[in-house]
Amino acid sequence: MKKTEHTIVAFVEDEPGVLNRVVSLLRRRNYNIKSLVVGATERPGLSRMTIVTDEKNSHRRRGMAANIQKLVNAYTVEDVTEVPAVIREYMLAKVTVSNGDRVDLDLLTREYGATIIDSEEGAVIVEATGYDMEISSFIERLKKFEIVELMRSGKMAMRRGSHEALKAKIEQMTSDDSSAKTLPQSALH
Amino acid sequence: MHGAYWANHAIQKADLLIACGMRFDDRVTGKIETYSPNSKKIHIDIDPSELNKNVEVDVGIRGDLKSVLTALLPKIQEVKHDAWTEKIKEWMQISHTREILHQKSDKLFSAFVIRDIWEATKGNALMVTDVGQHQMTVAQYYYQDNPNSLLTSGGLGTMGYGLPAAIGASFAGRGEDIWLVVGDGGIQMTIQELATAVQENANINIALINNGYLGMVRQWQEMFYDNRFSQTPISSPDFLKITEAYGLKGYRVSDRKDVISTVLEAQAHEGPTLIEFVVEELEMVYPMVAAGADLDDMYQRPLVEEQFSDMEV
Repeated sequence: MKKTEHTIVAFVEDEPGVLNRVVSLLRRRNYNIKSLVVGATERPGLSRMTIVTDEKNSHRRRGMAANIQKLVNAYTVEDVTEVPAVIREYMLAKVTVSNGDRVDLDLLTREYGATIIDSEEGAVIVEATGYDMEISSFIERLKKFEIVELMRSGKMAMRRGSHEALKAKIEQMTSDDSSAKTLPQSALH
Repeated sequence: MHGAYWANHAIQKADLLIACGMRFDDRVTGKIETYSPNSKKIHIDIDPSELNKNVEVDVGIRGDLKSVLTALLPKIQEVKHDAWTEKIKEWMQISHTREILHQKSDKLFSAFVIRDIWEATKGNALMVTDVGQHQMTVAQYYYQDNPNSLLTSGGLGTMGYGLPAAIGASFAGRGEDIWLVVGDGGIQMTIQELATAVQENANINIALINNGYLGMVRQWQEMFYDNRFSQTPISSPDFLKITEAYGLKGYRVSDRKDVISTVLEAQAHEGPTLIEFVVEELEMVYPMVAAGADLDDMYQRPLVEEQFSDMEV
């Protein structure tokens, strides 16, 4: 089955304006962002973005990674749509429950491996992590209570396996004497 | 948009297209749905984001042209396609008879100016252009045999680019003669840089093609908007007085017989020079593919005697 979502991971400089550059590029090229998560990584100065779009055209999917790769702030970009990868999101939901329903909520929360992290004045905050269908299914089930607030974080993706190639690529791109980000000599004369 | 008649026909009828380092932009393809409909397409480009961007190709090769072509050449067998080359020659013949250079005229066309500059400089000048009709004329009539010898604002199309770019080129100092071709509209966008050229004694020669219009836009208004010339006729200052005021050497040419001699004189002069070429006002760039038209659906250049017949005011 062709995946309807397209997920890429971009490794970029942790600098002001970088997110803007990436997002502006996607806007100019008319990609619709379904979710975008940015965060710190194992390496100081390196941010990691997981970008999910609903782009279906395979040429445009390839073009998106290729375009982000061209930004000077991008170290490397990988498309994780068609490779084994863990793609997860985080969810917070606030539900109101009557005293009689509280046991049902506890059971449901346990069933989904979720956690109740706050509970006062009848409003309970539940947190859950999982792949998107799991979260969606949990939300469906939560609807038997009254959901007053809900938020999903957007997706984070990580390829399975040791993936030495990525490590080597980032190593190469972030090393001080790297000329990888400059044009090949033949392009200059 | 203004590519050669025969080349556009050849592209439309070809069965194999090898595109090297180009991006299939709309000025080149015309209507994209009907672009070269029967060909297999091979696209070689250093930038992977260009592959399959505008035109879907059969083979996309990412790489530096030099290394890709060097690797491919030994694998190619020589073949002859006599019927096809004959066909191309037929199209070339049509181009030839319509060609302004082969038509007799005592008027000064910008094509004559550019061709004469090419002759006077033996094709070895570093050419810089601004944006507009003269830019097309330089592309068509100044044959480029040397790599990296044309500075032009291509896809961006920024008028006013030419003069600063020419000064920059003179600072880079590769040694060849520098000729800036610029229109009467574009030069006024950055004309203050004449002061820089004089101050730094930049060794540039400016060929100012003056037709009294923002000609490229005027051409569209003439062809597609029923001659309603809106904001395209422009008045200019007296450019000879301008050169005098800024302190550079100025010339004015309105007769073809003076073109080459003036070009040589300007070139021999140390420091910046400007030649104002007073050319035909209602000149058009031919051939022309209208925006959104099929690539082989072209406006051809009329013969000179019919070209201005309906334009007498």
